[in-house]
Amino acid sequence: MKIDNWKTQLRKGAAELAVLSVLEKEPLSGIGLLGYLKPYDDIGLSEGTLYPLLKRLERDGRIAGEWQLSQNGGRPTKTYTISDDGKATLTAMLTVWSGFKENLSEITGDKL
Amino acid sequence: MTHNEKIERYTKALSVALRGLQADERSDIVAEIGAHLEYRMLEGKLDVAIEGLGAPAVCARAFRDELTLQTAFNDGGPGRTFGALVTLATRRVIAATGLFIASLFLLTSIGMAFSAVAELFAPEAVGLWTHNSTKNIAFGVQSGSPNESYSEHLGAWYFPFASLIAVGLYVFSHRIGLLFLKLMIGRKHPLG
Repeated sequence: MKIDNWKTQLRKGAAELAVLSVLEKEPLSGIGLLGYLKPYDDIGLSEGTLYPLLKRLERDGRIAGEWQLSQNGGRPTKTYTISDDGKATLTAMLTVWSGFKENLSEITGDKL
Repeated sequence: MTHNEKIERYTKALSVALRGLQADERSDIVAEIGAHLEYRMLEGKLDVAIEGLGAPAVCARAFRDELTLQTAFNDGGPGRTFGALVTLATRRVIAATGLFIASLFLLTSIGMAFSAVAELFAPEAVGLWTHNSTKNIAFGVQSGSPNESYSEHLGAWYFPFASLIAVGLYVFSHRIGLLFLKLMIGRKHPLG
């Protein structure tokens, strides 16, 4: 079995949950999110995957992006905040994730 | 090329690759990617960032794919759903066409190489013939020597001739394969 393919499938769902969870803690830019998630390699969010995901979440109304002027005179940066709809989605996702994790823990036992 | 020029070039190419999206959405994406690259430039990691985003066409495709699927699922009627399917199917068609054409040339190349080697062991059964009256052409390995109504034209030149064609077709099959891969995934190098 190609473990990378399985990993990719797992990451697809987890990335959205990770981004919403982080944004619930604090509003961040794309760069800020990448920095926050950098230690968590297994989540698999990179420059190439994060921005399209943010755009989708923004279009769905789960997060809101706001352009802010740069303090050092550089280009403006876009900061994202989780919306009420995003918070509701996150709660629903966490409920599903919790049940999923519990079931899987019981099935796999000590292996997990 | 300076780092700022690199960013300028990347964002321009990205903007072109995002054609077809709504203007505000397109400029929003380009501005955000530009800001990202500038931030990385200040960290001294511009090339790593460009590598991470992929070529502008690849980066744009990631946004397009998200938007295409999202539109189809969220607010798309039959037209948008069909459009999303066409977008995804086109890539598969390109890949399948590339595989077919590259395989065709590769197999012909192998056949030519085989006939070139056969020329060394059974020269009478290998050659380029024309029928004396009908002018029909026969090329390669024949089962047994053709009869007197055929004339052979290459003789000992068959081996170098067939070898050259075999190598040429082999190289061509590789190039055509790469061409179709590039068509499918966009430009190979980020700033190429």
